[in-house]
Amino acid sequence: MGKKEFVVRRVFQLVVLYLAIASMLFFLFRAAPGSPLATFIGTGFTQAQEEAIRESFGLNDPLWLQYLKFLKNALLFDFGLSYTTSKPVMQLVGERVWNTLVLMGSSVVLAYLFGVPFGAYLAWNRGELTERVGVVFALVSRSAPVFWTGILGIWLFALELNLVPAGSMTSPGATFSSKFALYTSLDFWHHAILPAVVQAFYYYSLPALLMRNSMLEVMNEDFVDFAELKGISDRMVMLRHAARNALLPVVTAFAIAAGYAVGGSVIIETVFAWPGIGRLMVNSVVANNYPVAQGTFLILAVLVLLANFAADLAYGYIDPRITYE
Amino acid sequence: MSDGDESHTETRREFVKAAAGTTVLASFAGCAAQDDSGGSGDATATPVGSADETVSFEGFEVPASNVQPASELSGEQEIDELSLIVNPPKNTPNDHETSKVFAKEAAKLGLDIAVETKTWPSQVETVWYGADWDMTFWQMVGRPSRLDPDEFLTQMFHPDFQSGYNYYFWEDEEYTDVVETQRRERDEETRKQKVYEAQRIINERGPSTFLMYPKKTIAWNGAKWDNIVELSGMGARNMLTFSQMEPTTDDTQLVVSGDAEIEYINPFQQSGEIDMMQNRMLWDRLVWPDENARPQPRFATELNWKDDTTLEVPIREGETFHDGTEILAEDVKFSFDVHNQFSTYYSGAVKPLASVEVVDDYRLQFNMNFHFAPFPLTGLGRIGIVPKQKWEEIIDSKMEKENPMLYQEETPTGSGPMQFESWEQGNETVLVKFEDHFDPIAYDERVTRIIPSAQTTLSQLQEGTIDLLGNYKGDKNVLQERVDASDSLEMAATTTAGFKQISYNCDKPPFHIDAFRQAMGHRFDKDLIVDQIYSGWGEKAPNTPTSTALEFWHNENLEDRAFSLQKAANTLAQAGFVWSEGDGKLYLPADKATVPDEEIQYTETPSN
Repeated sequence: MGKKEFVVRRVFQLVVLYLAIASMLFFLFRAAPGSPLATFIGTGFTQAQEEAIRESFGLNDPLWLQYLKFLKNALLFDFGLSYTTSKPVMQLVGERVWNTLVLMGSSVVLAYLFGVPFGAYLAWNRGELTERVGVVFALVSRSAPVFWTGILGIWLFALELNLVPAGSMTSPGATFSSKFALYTSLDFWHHAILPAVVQAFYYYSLPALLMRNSMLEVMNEDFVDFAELKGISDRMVMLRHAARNALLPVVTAFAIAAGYAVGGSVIIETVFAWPGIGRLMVNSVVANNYPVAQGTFLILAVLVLLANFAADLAYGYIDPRITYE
Repeated sequence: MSDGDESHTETRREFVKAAAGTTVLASFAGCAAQDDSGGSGDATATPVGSADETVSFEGFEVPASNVQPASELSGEQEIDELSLIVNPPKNTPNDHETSKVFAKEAAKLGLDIAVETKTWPSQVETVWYGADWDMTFWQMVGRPSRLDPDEFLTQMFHPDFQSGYNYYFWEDEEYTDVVETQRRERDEETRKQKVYEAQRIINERGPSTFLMYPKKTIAWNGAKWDNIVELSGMGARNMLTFSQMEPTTDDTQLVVSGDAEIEYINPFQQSGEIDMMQNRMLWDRLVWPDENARPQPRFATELNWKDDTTLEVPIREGETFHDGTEILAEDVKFSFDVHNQFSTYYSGAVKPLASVEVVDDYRLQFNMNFHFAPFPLTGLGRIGIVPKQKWEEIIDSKMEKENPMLYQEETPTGSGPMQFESWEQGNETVLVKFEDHFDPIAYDERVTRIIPSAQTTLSQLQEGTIDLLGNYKGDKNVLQERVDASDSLEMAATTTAGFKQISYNCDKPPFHIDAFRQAMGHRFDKDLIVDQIYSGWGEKAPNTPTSTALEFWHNENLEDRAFSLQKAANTLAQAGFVWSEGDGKLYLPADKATVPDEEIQYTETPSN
């Protein structure tokens, strides 16, 4: 099987998986207890008026009809209108998904930029005090909950040292001509740096420990001994020979982490008042706002599926020994 | 005390276990009554044989005639496990704690009570839309329309609202008569007496136990802002504050926090406390409350009752909407008519209206179906004035859903002291000063920032980014500490017009019996609940929904039920409830074991 065939087969699998996830989400949310009209409580509606609202959102259709409509629309990435705002779900997602991707993407990149060399360094110093301290440091960062490190970060860097703002994405009332202008502004990064670093502090230990373990295996390979015997410096052996060959599992982890970062953004978004898709997802689940909940979860699923697909494709470039047979 | 369980049952088994250590014997009446407020709790054994024989249980005693062998009690008299619905402890820890404390105390009477955790949508489905529930924790918040006692007294307890706020299915002929009379009474003193009477009936036999009137805690940066107004019943975050506050520095941007996302910026809708205040700055009302929660003309210049059902309202002349078009009486009429034409958040507020007539460009006449005394505050005070031409066009050709409440204008247009600038949902809303307003504000811009975390909100308040808390659901003691430790922060804690309550399903045994609900009223240790669990951030409610914050309307003569196991037992015993010998389980009176065969008649149209 060639690369082209592999890609076609994987794309087909992705579509099937997407529909399966969509179906699961549809039925899971409807099995959950609670009324999607809870948001309108307090309006003094009569039963007839509530029925009219239900009707307008299609909630009075038979479940199978709702399901078929949903599946058809899901293929077109049309998830309907939010029950609480009446806005199209894709518009709500579109307004926020980039905020999350930029923040979480930055934190993942930061985590891997630091974590991978740090893991390689730990492996290279196997058995030394620096390795033992480093491993403990990595485990502590992985064990510290983000909401706690976030609050600590705000206290230290915002309130005590006054280096960064205590949350939110921009200064109050700041306006930008476009999303691009926003993401390239100093004001945005002044606000983004703390949540990105706090999240990276949680993420970096995974690539660090993975890289360390992978490196330890590679370091026992003959080609590493051979490189050393050739008189290549330790640093070059570590970077060019051992680390490069140890990268494969880290790439897989990176792809998965990039996908999950979006879903895992809700805590950092809540602590830092970041208007992202994680908060939208949680709010919609709590309010039984099915269209938004389904839409956000499916977008998350798509990101994870695409990240894994990208990882599969990247293998061939990183390690030429891997084929698509 | 919270254990985080989904469901926690307080059972009579604990009670029986305790009672087992104290031989259950007959005693002379009056010898061994134990009270929650004192006493050892041990039962006293005394000889049997008097006509006034009593049987002692752990903490209380009852006449021997109220104790029977279980074998002599019918299955219909059995009281099944009762469930108390409350939101998860992570959302409302104090409410959950209170529910557990009450369940434990009530179980001492020989009941099995389970505290059942449900999320808000699930609670709504069970309680609001369903009938198969026993007890529920429920909070009503203070809003401008609730500064008049009618909304709570009528909508929550009148039988016409059993498909809505009267989710308790409570019906009391005497009460219905009194509450209908008060809302039609023109003389304020006479109306006040009727409001007092309605509260007395609720206090005596109502469907709910009112626990407390919570305090609204609002903090602000006192070094930068002055003229904060504490509105009775609503607190410091209110339309008067936003209208009158003044910057004391060169910074004329007001930053307000909000803990929940704004769903709509729409004059026919209200999705929460934050947009409620924002809407009042965007869309003028004919009437606003004053600091004492009494209605005062706002966009109206006066309110002239021509007779019982005719209210003439002249409006300000020469005022414009934010888009520059002049506001005429036609716009005001249209603003009211929309709520009758469609089901909106405020439709209930215009129900008493038969019609609205335009007398001339600056004068309207409100014709009512009956004299509706609260109308100035609950009707004129709630309906935002919208530009007729713009909304006619929207309704005719732009709405995707057949309801203007579900339509979002790109640039919301009103006539209030602030006009819309921008809205990034989930992040912030920006309003700017409307220079041509008849009551101009003293600052240039208001930013409402959405900050879901209470901790982060406090941090932004401390660092000076936020000027005023729009809402705060975190630990109020922490807020107080931060304010005390700061040179610039100030705080107001104001008793609100809202309340916290535990309500009973009056359509379901055993709550269909007044005495049972009254006995439950004796099982709330409000000193513990308010002073300890809620750390004193509220006022104890003497079992009336009309808060002490509404000084004019609150009936001060009401006595609350004492926290007393003996009094609860006495109430039940007098009503014929029976305890089984041995296990001390409580049974229904034989003659009241079933609900009277009366179907609940839902009405389609509330009568207010």
